[in-house]
This record gives sequence, C-alpha cells and structure tokens, in this order.
Amino acid sequence: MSSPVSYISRDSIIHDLHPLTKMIASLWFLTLGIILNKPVYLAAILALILVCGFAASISREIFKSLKSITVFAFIIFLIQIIFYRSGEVAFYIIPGANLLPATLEGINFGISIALRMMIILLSFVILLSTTQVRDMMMVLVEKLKIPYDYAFMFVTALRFIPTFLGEVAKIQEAQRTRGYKVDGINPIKKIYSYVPIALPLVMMSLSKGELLALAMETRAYGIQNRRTYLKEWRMGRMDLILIIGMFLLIVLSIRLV
Amino acid sequence: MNNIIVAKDLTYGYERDTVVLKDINLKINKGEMIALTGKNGSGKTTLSKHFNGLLKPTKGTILVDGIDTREETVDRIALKVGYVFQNPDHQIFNDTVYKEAAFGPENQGLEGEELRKRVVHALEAVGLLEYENIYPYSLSKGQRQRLSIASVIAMNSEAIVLDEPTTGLDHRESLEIMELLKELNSEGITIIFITHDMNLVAKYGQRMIVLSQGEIIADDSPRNIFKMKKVIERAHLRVPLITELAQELEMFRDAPLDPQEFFQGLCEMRRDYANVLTS
Repeated sequence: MSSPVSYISRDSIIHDLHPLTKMIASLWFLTLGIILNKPVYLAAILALILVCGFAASISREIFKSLKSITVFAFIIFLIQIIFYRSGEVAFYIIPGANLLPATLEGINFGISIALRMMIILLSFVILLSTTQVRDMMMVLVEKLKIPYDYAFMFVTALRFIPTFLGEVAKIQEAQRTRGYKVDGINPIKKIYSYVPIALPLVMMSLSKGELLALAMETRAYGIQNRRTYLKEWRMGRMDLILIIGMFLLIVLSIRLV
Repeated sequence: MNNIIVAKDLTYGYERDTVVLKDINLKINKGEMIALTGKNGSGKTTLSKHFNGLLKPTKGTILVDGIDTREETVDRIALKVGYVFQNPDHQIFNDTVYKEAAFGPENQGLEGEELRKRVVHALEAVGLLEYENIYPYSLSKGQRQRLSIASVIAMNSEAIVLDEPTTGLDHRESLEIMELLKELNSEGITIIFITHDMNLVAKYGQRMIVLSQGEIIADDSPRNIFKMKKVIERAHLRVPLITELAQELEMFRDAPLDPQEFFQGLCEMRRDYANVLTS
C-alpha cells in the first residue's frame, strides 16, 4: 500500500539539494502563491514549479498528479465564477435564460484561486517526492533545533499510516466474514457501525505503540542528548545561490504587488 | 450435493503481472478435515480466502455449496463457510465474551431465545461459557483464539476455514484447539486448516493439500504425502521426526505417523522375527 505522495528515488540536482533548501523553496512557493494575485504571475510560478519537477526527473509522476489536481482546480474555478457577483458580466453560464452571470472579475479571481491551489499542492508534491522524511526530520532537529522527540513522533506517525491501512483492511475482512456491513443513511447509526472496525484498530495500535516504545528503549533511545545521523547533509554552493535568489525574488514580488 | 467447495481452473493475481494462484482444480467434500500446507508465500491464505468469497478469482470459477462466489456477497457466503483469521485481535471489539460471539448471528438477523441458544452452544463447544461476562481482552491468547472460533461456530456455517489457528499458542493450547476442531468435524462440519506443523497434520488431517508457488503439488492423505520426498522438499516441509526416523531405518513397511504406530510396528517386527526363529 502506498500513500498518494511518496519519495521517489532518482538521481537529480533537486534530489541532491540540501533538505532545508527544498523546505525553504516550498514555503517560498507557498508565500508567492499567496501574495501574488495576477494570473500571469501565478502562471509563471506554476511554470517554474513544473521546471523544478522536470529538473528532478520526476516529470511523469508530476504530470500524473497534475492531472488530478487540475480537475480540482477546475471545480474551484467554476465555483468562483458562479458565486462571484460584482463586476462586468462577460457571459452567462446558461446562455438562453440569462442565468448565472460570469463576471470578468470573477473569471480573473477564479483563475487566480485555481492557480494558487495548484502551486501550493504541486510544490509540496515535489518536496515530498524528492526529499525523504527522515532527512527533513534531521534538518528540523539539527538546524531549527526542534526537540528530537517531537520530530521523531511526527515521522513515526507518517511511517505508520500504511501499516494502519493494512490493519484496517484485515479487520474489515474479519468482520465481513461475520456478516458485518456498513449501512444505513442515519449518521449516528453509521458512526456506530464503524465500532467493529475502530475498536480492534485502537486496541492493536495501543499494543503496537507499547511494543515500539520497548523496542526503542532496548536500542538505547534517549540515552544521549546529541545523536548522529547516517547521512549528514552539507549546504553546497547551489543551495546558497538558490536561497539568496529566492530571497531577492520575494523582495521583488512584494514590490510587484 | 456432496461438494462444499469446487474450484475450477482458479487463477488469481493481486496485480496484473503477478500470479499468486495458477489453475487450481480442487473438490472438497462435505465433512472432510483438510490440512492446507506449503511454505510461506505459496498461496495458502490467498486460496483459503477464495473459499468464502473474500477474494474472487481473476480467472476460472469457485463454487461454494453450488454458488459462484462472484455472484454473492461475502456476508451471504459466510453462512456457508466461516473463516477464522490468524490473529483473533483483528475482530474482537465487544466488552463481553458473550456479545462477541453473538455478533455474527446478530448480523444474520437472529434474536431472542434462538440467538441465546446458538451463542451458548458455541461458547460451550469451545469451553468458554463460564467466561461469558468477561472482557475478551483479559482472556489468554489461546482463549481469544477459541473465542474467534466460537464466533464462527455461532453462525452455524457448514464449513470453517482456519488460517494458522495454532500460531503463537503453546503445545497444550494447540492440542485443545485441534481437539475442538476434530469434535466439530465429527458433528459434520467441514474443517480446512492452514498450518506449518506436520505433527498436527499427521494427527488431525484426513487429507493434506500441498501448495507451492501457487499450484497444488500434492493432494492425498498425510501418510502418502510424507513418502513423497520431492514434494516435501519443494514445499519446505519436514515430516514428523518419528516418521523421518522410521524412513531412515528402512525397516517399516509403512512409515508410522506417531510414536504409537512406531511402537506397534516394532512389536510386529519382533513377532515376525520370533516366528522366523521358531519355524
């Protein structure tokens, strides 16, 4: 079982960048996506993201997620032009009856919102598919001084999602053979009907958590405050250039707004 | 009709290119007690999940009591074939043993006196009736395994499939489970159990099916299969030590399956020898 976004191991300049650089870049894309509002600028940023995907030689995977993201973006766009009422009317969505007017401003706004969403989602898709979670954790602990326990907790939670999905599948099978069905439209009944799945899952998670804690302790977890890592990252020249470049561009874009 | 399960050219793959089961042809009669064996990853569990429709064949057909599993939902087929999973903790969610065993029949729509009778009978069969008001998680692993068997018995299925019912149990607990299955079998319930333990196969399996790489490579009595060196080798099995010893000695006409048979064989040999001496 794989989660929708997982690390893809490739040999590329993006993969070789320091995790911190990539995390900064994601935040940078996020910030730009929020502060810029002209569709042209946003489209340029989106193009830049696609270039990053290409440079990371994951264009095929990016294209795949782009397809599903585009569907979402289009729905958001439609909702915007339906509910945006002020401004000059460009055309009617139902032309004959002059119903549901779409305004120029609404279209503009809809495109911006859709592009914004695509930018934010895609930048994180690229971050997650080119950076391993444990490298991000290491950076958070080493560079940003986040306590290791918290970082570890976060990474472990992520790591256990597929495991739990597997458990859920097994529990579902077990209950289905006992004639169990999730049915009914009544929401309260529906919640109750999940008890046969949820309860065994909670019990198993608790015992799994306990085992994990024991296994960690037997391997000397927390014995020292300073820990070392299998792979140590170093900021390269490329990282510095990119970070400085991003900083300058953000200053420039604030002037653009 | 005498067959509870009939598989014809059953083929199954989890994904397009990987084939887990290849052209399985199999008939299981009502009232049999069958051991399903093979090394890890040979397709035992995958095959057994076809017996009650949890998995549907990608090619070929499987009939459960005459019903094509592709045309029925699992909960309907579960009336015919119950399934006990390897880990009982995957299904326990009620706060008493009684309620846990009653979950299946409740889903079948039973109520009142009939429901009570079924559950009591099931708990009695597995020897857990005295614990009916106890919290299931406070039972031992062997008891929880028996509870999951009870919850299947309570559904009145004609056949029960058990995926490694003795894994993680001690010797005594294992024997208790197997004796229970034998008892159920004598009441007419078809039993199909997956196991790696050849001693249990020798003692309880009337028929033994050996899977290797998704194919049935042997389907016979344990006694006959234990003689097939190649099958045993290919399936990463090991015959019971007493059988192996007898085979190495090459003194027995028919290799014994347990110490008692071994002893009987020795007695016969001594008698024969005495006869030779006196004549």
